[in-house]
Formats: sequence, structure tokens, C-alpha cells
Amino acid sequence: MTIQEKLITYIEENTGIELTESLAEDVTLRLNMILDLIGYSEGSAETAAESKKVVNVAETGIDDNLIKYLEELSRLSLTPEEEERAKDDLTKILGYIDMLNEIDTTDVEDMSHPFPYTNNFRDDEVKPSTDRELILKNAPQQKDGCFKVPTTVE
Amino acid sequence: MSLNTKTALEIGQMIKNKEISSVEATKEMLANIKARDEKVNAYITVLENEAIAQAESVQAKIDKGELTSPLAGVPMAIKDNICTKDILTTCGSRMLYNFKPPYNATVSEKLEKNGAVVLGKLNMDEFAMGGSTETSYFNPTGNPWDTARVPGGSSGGSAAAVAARECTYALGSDTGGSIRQPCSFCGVSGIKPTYGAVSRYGLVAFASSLDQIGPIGRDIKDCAEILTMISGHDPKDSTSIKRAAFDFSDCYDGDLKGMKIGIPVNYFGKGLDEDVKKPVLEAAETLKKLGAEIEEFNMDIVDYAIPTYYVLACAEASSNLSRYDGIKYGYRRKDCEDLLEVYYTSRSEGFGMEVKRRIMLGSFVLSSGYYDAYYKKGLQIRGLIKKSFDQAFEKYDMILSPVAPTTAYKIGENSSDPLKMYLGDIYTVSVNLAGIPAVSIPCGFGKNAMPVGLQLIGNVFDEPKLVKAAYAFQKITDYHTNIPEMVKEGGDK
Repeated sequence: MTIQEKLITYIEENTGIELTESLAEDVTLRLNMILDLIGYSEGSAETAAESKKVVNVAETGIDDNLIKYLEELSRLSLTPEEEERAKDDLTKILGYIDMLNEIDTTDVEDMSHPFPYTNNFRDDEVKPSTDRELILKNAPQQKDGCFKVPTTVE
Repeated sequence: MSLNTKTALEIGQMIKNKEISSVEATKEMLANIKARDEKVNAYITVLENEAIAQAESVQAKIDKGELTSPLAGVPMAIKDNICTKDILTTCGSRMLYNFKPPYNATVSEKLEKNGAVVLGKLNMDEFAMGGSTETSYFNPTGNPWDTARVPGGSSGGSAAAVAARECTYALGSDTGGSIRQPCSFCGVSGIKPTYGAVSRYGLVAFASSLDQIGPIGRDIKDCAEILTMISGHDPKDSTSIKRAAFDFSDCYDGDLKGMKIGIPVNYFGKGLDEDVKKPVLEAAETLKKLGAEIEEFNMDIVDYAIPTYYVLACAEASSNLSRYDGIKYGYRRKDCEDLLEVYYTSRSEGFGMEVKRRIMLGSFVLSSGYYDAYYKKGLQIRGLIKKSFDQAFEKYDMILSPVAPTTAYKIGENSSDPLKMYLGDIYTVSVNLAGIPAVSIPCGFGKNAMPVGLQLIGNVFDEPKLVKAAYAFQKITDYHTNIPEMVKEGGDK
């Protein structure tokens, strides 16, 4: 059922009035204008449902795809045994974290920092930086005063 | 001469009075390390020759009157996530197994300026992620009261070294309880300072909005002196706060008349060991006898502190630890074909499992689709937690609570269940989320003869109030002067 059909059914059920074809057309037209206004298109409802499903991962658990995705985001590759363990552990931890949803945070401001202070920036004075040689001392590989890495551009 | 029963300030005074030299004090600590550290494993790096040379040079300056700090010449040690120039700083990780920082942390500079003698670098949970020092790449640390048990963490090496008298005091760091909980487990004293009181420049970042460096010592007076030495605004840390230096001179009269202390009743419910509950409530009675008014109150939001903390701390960690790419410093897998392989293999081989778990959890809560439900939600609840502390401090000078729900447990007992480990942080993490200070001091022993700690939580920059209360408590109790069997005369044998 499309969203337009759903609305018409809803009106009919709640008012007890059966809409004529022209009235139904009128309702559809007006609804389309509203949907246009809020940027709705066919399929975006599916995306919203998808993202809702995604957010409920605490219930569904972490599957193979998600663990692979997290490895990629984290630039880590786990062994198959580590993956199994991570899946179990993260599912358990996220299930626990889910209790945060018990709290209503509508209109609560974010607090990313303990205090409302703004950064105390230093005066913009030119000063010598650490020597290149000192910085390179810890490099696993170096060449001509630079960090050396495998060829990245042919 | 045995310094086993002396505080750092007393040793500093003995050096001034020429009853002992800095070199002698340093050699005694090095001998203690040699005798005990095989069992305790508090140190990752011991700077034997360097420490003696430093003690000689500091002693010369004291003799010439150039160094007058109360702790000049006193031997101490530093947690291994605080940068020390040209001295190995591993963070307890294979990732930094060979890292020698080309610069000093600001606190390391301050120690040097005040004539501290650095004995070495102390063991810790890998990247400070843990509460037992079992996740260290350099093997777990044992608790000096029973080396089959954990010393707590992540500053487990710091607390264990002080308890075993392998140093006179130590620096630790506290992101969610990492100074206070090991102090509780090892029977020593510590302060988690107000966020921004101590410069974080040169502290290897874990969760930047929560991390603070702080002191661990034999008593609260030592800790206050160390905090005075290491705190203050630093142009190199834009989150350090400009304000007058701490003044603890009015803190030592032992009188708590007029002081109001709140006890959050929901901190004493399910999950708290009777072994811990009893001494902590007895400590409240002791403070009452000293003149403080004690009142119970409710602080329900704090029950949500652990999930909030793990969302936010892991999010920040996943971002901070993205710098370890195997290219600029630290561990790098050899013979990689391309750049991506360098990243993947170096990180996978360089990090331990707990660190990987937290990086992945952090990547998850920050990723598209989950950000609002987890990270943003966490930030909002952090605001609510801060607000409930603000409300409490309108009524009370400080809040009294346990530090940890249990005493030190056996090595390996909890390490296979990360969630169980996280739940041990229940009384400590909210303090970091709110950015406020807290102290941890010994207040008794459990049936297993392991130490129990008491936590006093204060409002922003109210460290002097906390020190005053802790000092009054330590003046009439002797829990902090107890020493483990291995430290007693002949205990090494």
C-alpha cells in the first residue's frame, strides 16, 4: 500500500465517510504537495525503516557483515576466532548500553566537554619546532629526511 | 636505614636535614625494586644508573641551595603513558614497544625542575584501557598484598610500586577511575584532579575529554604536595585552566566542623560487596566524629554512568588511536606490499584484544546511522550527570562513596568477561564525565585481608576541601600506614 492509499484508508476509517473518487484525488494531490515540501520520495520510507532496524542492533546482535565493516572502519583485521569473540562481546556490551534509551533526552543539550570554556589558544608566535632528525628517530623506516612507506603512487 | 614507613615529604625533609642523601634514598628504592619487582612486576623500565646519576646531580644542587622544593631529591616513578624524553614510553603496548619520545610531558618537566629523581616507568593496562593491569603487553602486575591478585588499573604499576615501597610516590592517570581504583586495591592514596588542573601535554591520549594526570602516594599530604608541583596552566594544553595555584596550607587542622557530606544511597545497593560497604560506612561515622554532618540523598542518574562512559571513552579512543599507523613511530609489520597492508597488519599485531574491542566499539557508535542513538545520546546523558552533581554540590561540600564494588580479585578471574570488568567502574566513571575531582584513601581491609578504599568527590577545583577531609581521617586512623607482608623487615626472604 502506498502512503497515499494509507492516508485515504485512515481518513475513511476515522471519519466513517467513504471518499468519492474526486475527493480521494484531491487528498492525494494535497498529500503529494506536503511530501514534496518535506523531501519525501518513494523508497525513503524503506531507508528510514532500514536505519531503524540498524539502530536496534543491540537486540539483533552484531552479525558478520557488521563486524567486517567495523574492522574496515578501524583498520584492523581480526582472526576468525577473534571475530567470533568480538561479535559476542560487542553484542553483550551494546545490549547493556541500550539502557541509555530508558532516559528521555528530548531538548537536552550535548556535553562534549566537562566545562563550557572555549579553547585557550596560544599567541600566534613563530617558534622553532622539534628538529626533523629527532622526529625521525622513532620512524620504522626513513629515507632522505622523510618517513618511508611502500610505493603508493606508480 | 629503612624508609619503609616514611612518606615522601618526610624523606624530603630528611634529605634537607642531611640525615640521608638523595643517592642513599635512591639506592634503597633500587634495592627494593631488585628484591620485590620480580614478583610484583610494577616496572616496565628501571633506570638504575640514570637514577643514581640524577640523584647525585640533584643532591649537589640541594647542597648549593639551588633546589628547595619539599620533594627535591626524593625518588619516584612515572606511569608509562607519560612521555619522558629519550626514555622508553610504551603505554603497556606492543604498539609502542620501542618508542622513545623526543620530548618531555609538561609534568615530566615540572618533576625535573623540582628535583625529582626518576627511578623508572610503571606498568599499566594497555593504553590505560582496563581496571586490572592484566592487559599490559609486558605481563600483569601483582598486588603487593597478595601477588596472586590484581593491583587494579589502569595505573596498577603506580599503585603497586608505592605499596611495595619500590618508589616513594608515583604519577598515574585517571580516565574512568585509573588512579582511584588501584589506590583502593593497593591500600595507598591518590587524587584524580579537576579536569584542566594538570596539563595533559605529553600524556598519551586515550579519551581526551576525560583523561587527567594525578598523584599516588603513601598519604594524602604527599598527594597534595605532588599535585601542587604538577598542576597549573600550560600554554601547550589548550584545555588546561588559568587560575591561581592550589593552596593546601589550611587543610591540616583535622577539624571538619561545618562540613556537609552527602552519601548517595543508590551507591550502596546491589552489587556492592559487604567487605567494602562496612568499612566505607564506618569511615562516614569517623568523619561524623570529626565534626562533619552526614546526610543520605538520591542520585539515580549515576546508574547510567557506565554505559555513557563506555560510549564516549571508546568514541574518543577510536579517534585518538587512529594515529598508530606503523609509519611515524612504534610497531610496524615488515615487508608489506602496500600502504593499507601496513595499516592493517601493524595495528592488528600492535594492539591487544581489549584495545581492539574499544576501537571497534568507538568506530561503531560514531558511524553513520548509529551516531545519534549512541554518541549523541551519551553526550546528552553526560550533561544530565553533570547537572545532578551540580545540584548535589548546592547542598553538600562533598560526596562520600566506595571506590570499587569489591576488593582486589585474583589475576585471571574476570579477564575473560569484558562487561563484568566494565561494571567494576561503577563508582568512579561519573567523576570523569563531570570533570570534577575525587580522592581515594584506604579505610579498612576485607575478610581476605585486602585493602578497601574510600572515595570523596568534590566540586570543580575543591581539591583543598577533599584534602582537608582526607587528612583529618588519616590523622586519626592507621589504615594508610599499614604495609604489606613483603615490605616488612625480612619480608623479602
